[in-house]
Amino acid sequence: MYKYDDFDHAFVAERVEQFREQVARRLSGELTEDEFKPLRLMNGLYLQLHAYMLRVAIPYGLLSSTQMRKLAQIARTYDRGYGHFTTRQNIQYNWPRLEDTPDILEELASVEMHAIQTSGNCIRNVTADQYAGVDPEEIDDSRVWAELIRQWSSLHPEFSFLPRKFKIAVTGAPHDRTAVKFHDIGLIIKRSDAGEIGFEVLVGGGLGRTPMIGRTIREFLPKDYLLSYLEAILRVYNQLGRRDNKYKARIKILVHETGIEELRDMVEAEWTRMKEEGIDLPDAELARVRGFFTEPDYEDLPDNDQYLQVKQFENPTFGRWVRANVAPHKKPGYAVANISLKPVGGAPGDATAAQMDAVADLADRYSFGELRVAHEQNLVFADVKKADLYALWKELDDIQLGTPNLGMISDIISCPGLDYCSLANARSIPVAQRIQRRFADIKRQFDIGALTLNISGCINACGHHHAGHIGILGVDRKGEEYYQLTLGGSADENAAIGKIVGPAFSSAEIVDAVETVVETYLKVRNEGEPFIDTYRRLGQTPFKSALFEEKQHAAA
Amino acid sequence: MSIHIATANRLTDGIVVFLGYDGEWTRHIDDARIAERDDDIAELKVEAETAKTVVGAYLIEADVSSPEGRGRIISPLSYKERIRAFGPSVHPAFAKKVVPEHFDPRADASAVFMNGI
Repeated sequence: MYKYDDFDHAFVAERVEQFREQVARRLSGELTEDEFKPLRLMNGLYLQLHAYMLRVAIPYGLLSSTQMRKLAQIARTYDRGYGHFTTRQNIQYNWPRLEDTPDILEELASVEMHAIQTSGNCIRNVTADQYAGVDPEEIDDSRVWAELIRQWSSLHPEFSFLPRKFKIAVTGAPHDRTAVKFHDIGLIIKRSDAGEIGFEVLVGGGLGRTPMIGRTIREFLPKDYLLSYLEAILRVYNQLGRRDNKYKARIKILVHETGIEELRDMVEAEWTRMKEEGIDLPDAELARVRGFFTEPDYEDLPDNDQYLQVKQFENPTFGRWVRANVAPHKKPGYAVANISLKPVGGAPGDATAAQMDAVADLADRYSFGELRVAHEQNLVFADVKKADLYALWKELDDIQLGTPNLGMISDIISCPGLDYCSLANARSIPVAQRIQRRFADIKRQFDIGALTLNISGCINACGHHHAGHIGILGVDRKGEEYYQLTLGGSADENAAIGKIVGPAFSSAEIVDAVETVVETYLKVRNEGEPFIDTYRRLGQTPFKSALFEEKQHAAA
Repeated sequence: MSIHIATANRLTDGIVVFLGYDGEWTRHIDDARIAERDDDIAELKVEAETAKTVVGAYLIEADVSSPEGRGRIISPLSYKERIRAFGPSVHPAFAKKVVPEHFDPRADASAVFMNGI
């Protein structure tokens, strides 16, 4: 993984000291809250419903075990013993004290981490594929490019005060795990007919109150021009993006109002000038960064699954975990192991300090001391020997991290909701927990199969509700929590925005409504047909009918 | 009976606090200073908003009751403010220690409907 050089160390240390002074001036009353707020936000410190919240960047979701231990120590020392992994591969602490934040940032800096650009109208933490470098079908390692973009965008003077926040995702695999089409800029690594690596560049995707799927602004951008092309897009957006209305300030609105063709012409014109300025990286720099993402010391192993098959047969729960949570690896004898942070009744994405420490130890023993955070709020061990999977699962299961539910209905993406967030209109986590309990029977979940369910507590959509096969949006209706149901969303390469299925449900009704949708699917699906395919074949009609007409019928 | 109280987050640690009768901010909502008449409400607002030790002060509406043997109980009218005052409703260990009995954060989440809080 990337290692800080002297410049990086000095830069982050300097920021910590700056912030220490700023906090001191705030506490002494020298700075008002209006003066201090932009400064704390530049360091990832929000004020939420119950307390401050610190959002720490995990660049493209990659963590060393040392960093994970530090996150655990911070949770234990400065917070309340847990942290929340987010849909942008970051971690949030819900209870830090303002007085302690400079020390927390100093602790983070000691393991090459920080909270810069986790808030504000700048280029946020760049996300990448959690299977980067190990997916057998991958074209190129997305982490290399995410790291380059991170370096280019860190405190970029021109792009520190954009019209609005700006999110970039990179995927290097044909199957998208990054929700790439829902980002301000989505980069899909491709190979040209000539075998050259480059990017399909999408622009203007996003969720929030105006969900949109990114449009292709360039079919193929040769890799050498990545930074100049990104800079051209950002420059056009910075000039033309709306600053008069916060809700129309994202680049998706610019794309929508200007039209992709006209925007493309402007970006290309800007890029033509910019290419000449020589901001693109020399090959040596690209090679230097790529050098940080070399393969670990894999052993030459036979691709023999016999031991694994025996264990799966002997222990059906382990068998289910392998089927749901384990993915193929490019190296014979290795596998990718997903660690679900969605145990039945847990808060999606939360991990205790003890779990973080334990996971760090397991990463050392089973996955070359590294792990990744997925935007679905789970953890990933990317390099586990197949022969070790059983031992790993047993240890995970001991700390409530062995849930075999990846990609199933209880693997819920959920924002913190009104339990923590000052923007939320309704709670998310309790709804997630009730759904998890309703579908706690794992055999039933396997029968239902692949089904994503996402929950947001407000229209800002941090819980990606539009992108879930089933989406739930919390709303305030006359002082009560209500929940709107959307169906048909999808966050992968076949991205789709879920459609609202009818009037909102009360908190008491929403879990039954989800169950009605699921039961309807089970009735109408074809053999082996996943939920999303059934929905695409039949549309909303059978679900709407089951949810509303039959209900009315029963009432009459 | 609907009354107004002042709330904010404490500057040093962000914890939810309420303006008390002695001019100090308290973590206990039941100790909050209540304002009913328009001029009292206006005065409370000014005092809250000019306080230096808290952030983002504002007034909320609440119900006040005094059941026998329980002392005064203040409960915000809006569910958002009730969660802010008593929650979070998940993570029982971290909910406020002083909460009305009918807001039991340890209850199964399926039983926690805001209407009943």
